Amino acid sequence: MAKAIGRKFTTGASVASRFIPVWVATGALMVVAVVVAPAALRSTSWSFVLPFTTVLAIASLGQMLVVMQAGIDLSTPGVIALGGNLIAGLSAGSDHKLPVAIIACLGFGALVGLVNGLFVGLLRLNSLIVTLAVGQVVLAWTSKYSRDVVTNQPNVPGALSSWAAGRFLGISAVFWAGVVMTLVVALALRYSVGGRRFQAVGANSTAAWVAGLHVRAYAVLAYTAAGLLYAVAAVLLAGVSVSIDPSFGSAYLLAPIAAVVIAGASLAGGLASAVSTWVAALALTLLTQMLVIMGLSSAMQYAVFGAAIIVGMLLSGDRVASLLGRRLRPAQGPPARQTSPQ
Amino acid sequence: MKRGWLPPGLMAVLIVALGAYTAARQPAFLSADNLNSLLLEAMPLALVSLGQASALLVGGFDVSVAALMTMCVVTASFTMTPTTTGLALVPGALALVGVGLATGAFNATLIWVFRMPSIIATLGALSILQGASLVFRAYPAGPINSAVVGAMTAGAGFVPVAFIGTVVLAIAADLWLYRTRPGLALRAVGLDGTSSRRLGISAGRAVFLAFIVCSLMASIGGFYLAAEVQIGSPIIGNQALESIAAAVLGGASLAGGKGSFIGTLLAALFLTEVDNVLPLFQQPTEYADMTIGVLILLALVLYQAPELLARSRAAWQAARAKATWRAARPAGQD
Repeated sequence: MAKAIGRKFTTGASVASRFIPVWVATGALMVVAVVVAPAALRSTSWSFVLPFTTVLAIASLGQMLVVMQAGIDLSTPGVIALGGNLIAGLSAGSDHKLPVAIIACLGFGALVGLVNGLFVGLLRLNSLIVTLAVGQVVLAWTSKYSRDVVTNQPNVPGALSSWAAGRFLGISAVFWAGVVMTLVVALALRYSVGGRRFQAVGANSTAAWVAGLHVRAYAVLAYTAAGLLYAVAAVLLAGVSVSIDPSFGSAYLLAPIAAVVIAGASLAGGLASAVSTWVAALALTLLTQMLVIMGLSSAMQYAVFGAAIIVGMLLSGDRVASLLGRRLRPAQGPPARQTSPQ
Repeated sequence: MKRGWLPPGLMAVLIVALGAYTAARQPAFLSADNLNSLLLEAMPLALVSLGQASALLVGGFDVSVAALMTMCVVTASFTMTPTTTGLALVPGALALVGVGLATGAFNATLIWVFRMPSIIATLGALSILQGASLVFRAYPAGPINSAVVGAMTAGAGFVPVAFIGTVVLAIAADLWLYRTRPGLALRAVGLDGTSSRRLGISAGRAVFLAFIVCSLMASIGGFYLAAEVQIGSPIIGNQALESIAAAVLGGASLAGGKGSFIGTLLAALFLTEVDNVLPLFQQPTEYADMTIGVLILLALVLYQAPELLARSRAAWQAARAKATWRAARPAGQD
């Protein structure tokens, strides 16, 4: 009995502790930044970095919802590219067509997500290959649209770009928009019935099904919401980057996945933390910014970035502890798991 | 095993159908020159897809292959320069293989020893390799020995000898996979790692084998990429996602344990054929990407069709049973 309670306690603790390493890693990164590249932490640097952090964080939130349902979404760059090009192409640079362009951007983002969701949730095809294929179709159509329409007039309407350049309480308006989006996602997951059920389906879909939840509907919902969040990221990124170039959004294939995993989510599905995801996105952008300020060549930036992802993963979760545990356990006798009947 | 022939069969039919359609409209398609260049164009993707299929068999995948191939091209521009001749080329070629082996061992260590998800481990390797390629060649430079290129692209008639070798390799690999004990062990680890470990199969050995083979095939694909670009270019291609697509079209399951090397080879050939055919019709290249994307989705649905049918039939029967039960119930009771 006592053993059972003890085990229950440890599993509960390990769930929470999954989200701690990212805070430690980010803190350590800040300390390193203070020592090697203090300029990375100055407010001029922050005001440049924060909008991009926000875009990455919102794309990562979308990816997080999919990862919670044990999926993975590779259509992110496709949706962001589509959204950005639609905003420039449909508005033709004029402010009074901007609302239509934004609505189209969000609508098509959600539509692409819905297509992903139907293939993955309803037909139960593999998420990686479905989103890869859907993303490829979207990206190909976008690049044709971009060549035919957007190259003649690549500018984002002035209203959007001046809003994105504006500040509120001394901090970029884009950042505040991102904070609102994150709060909405985090609060909905934690306090709404639908959000709780969404988490339950991700944590154990069989148990959720037995409890009478529409498991597949939540999977479809995850991809649709993710598509919508990518479209929001596209609107913000379009505002920040002022004009749309052909490579718009291409940086967002693997970075959101890295952020979600570094934040402590498991690719096998289950719980994830929106705030940790935000911190991981911040850490990734801070790392990039630090490497730029240290004057490393782009070659070294890639190498250090790759090494940082691997080291971050090694330290995150309970990898080191379990590896040490495996080495230490024989000395302490057989582990409890094998002696208890189960 | 009966359905195992569907993916390779479908790919073969598509290759022939697209070829016949194109040949009817554009006679230039069937010229020996064009077929030769089509097969040579297919070589890098075909080789790396065979490797990717082995990673998929153990339930992982490798997104670092394209960066590895680029790294091999960059390495070749140093070790296989036009001035190196004769036996000096052997260590030069071994350097490329060494890069592949090292990357494979690195990936496998992270995945097996440190239990990282394969996408994150290989993503890290991708970034490091990309950086390393740029360190050595910041811009395309350094021609690659043309005698080696000539030897690698030599053909019997219009068919490159290397392509025949790849076909033989794929057939041998499929025989190994489905007719020998180590092949069965590899599939077992992919299907269910825990159960296979309990049955005494060394799952670690299987994972190491699969990822080292994957990187090794990517580095051999790197030879043919080098033969194609003929200069040390640090630009990374799209082979990572294309090779995953080829392996899945060829019948591999991303959950592991299923796959066919012959099917993968045919799928890689088909993907290259789509790319090769569109310029003949003066169509923009975007249509190739769209077609391939749609085809992947269709193929997935088709390969899953028996399961989908069974599932919808079960749902239909459950609904009917419920309806008859309702109808049989005396009215008024609830």
